[in-house]
Amino acid sequence: MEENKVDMFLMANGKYFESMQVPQIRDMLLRVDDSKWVMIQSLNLKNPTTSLIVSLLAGSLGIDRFMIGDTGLGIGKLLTCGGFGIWTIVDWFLIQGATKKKNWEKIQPYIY
Amino acid sequence: MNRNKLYLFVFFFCLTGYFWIGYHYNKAADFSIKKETTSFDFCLFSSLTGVPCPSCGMTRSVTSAAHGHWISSLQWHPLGILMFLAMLVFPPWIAWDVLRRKNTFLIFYQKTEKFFQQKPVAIVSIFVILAIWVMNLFRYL
Repeated sequence: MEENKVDMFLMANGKYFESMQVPQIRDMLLRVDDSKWVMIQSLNLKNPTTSLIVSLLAGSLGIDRFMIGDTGLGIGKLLTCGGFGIWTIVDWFLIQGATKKKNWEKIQPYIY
Repeated sequence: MNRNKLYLFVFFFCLTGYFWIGYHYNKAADFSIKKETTSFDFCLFSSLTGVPCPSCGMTRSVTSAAHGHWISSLQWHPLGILMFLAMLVFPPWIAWDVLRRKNTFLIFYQKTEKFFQQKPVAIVSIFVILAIWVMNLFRYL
């Protein structure tokens, strides 16, 4: 793909990934065929800040986990009242990383 | 989520659950259902908002099930028996998987996730949870 397209993508979406993954994503996107551009553009990436807000407000109901696609963990969190209250607090610190990891998993099939 | 992480997590989660239920095991001597205010000592949601959350009554439901009082377990929380069964079945299942070097539990977990991600199932589950919540609101407020 062209360099300016990749840089544009990373400028808009760089914050959705771990900072150390960004150079790797850039390298891989440069090697990717142009036909995947539309797919990569339309990826439904989740914003880590949004999930942090959701986690702070409705963490004990597991909504944050449901939102990023961890349905199984979400059910566990919902039925135990936020994992006995402890998991809720732990997730305030983990949810941003978990969201970025999910985004990384989402982009995987398109950049390899 | 990879296999080992999931297994470790579920195992320790169940372990915490056992300690939790063990701590409350003898407290729930009275299984009759009645309108009461509980001390929301651990639930962040209810201690912050003063409103019971959809899983209020789960501890009493599981302890009732552990004592063999199935009906009162259902009355405390309709999903308590499911939770009780999960707590009984998951740790041995994981141990069996680890010993036999298989990943049947992981496959089960992924299939459950897929099942609940289907739109009709998700909508029905949300309504069930909301219904339980409304029931809890009437019971505790």
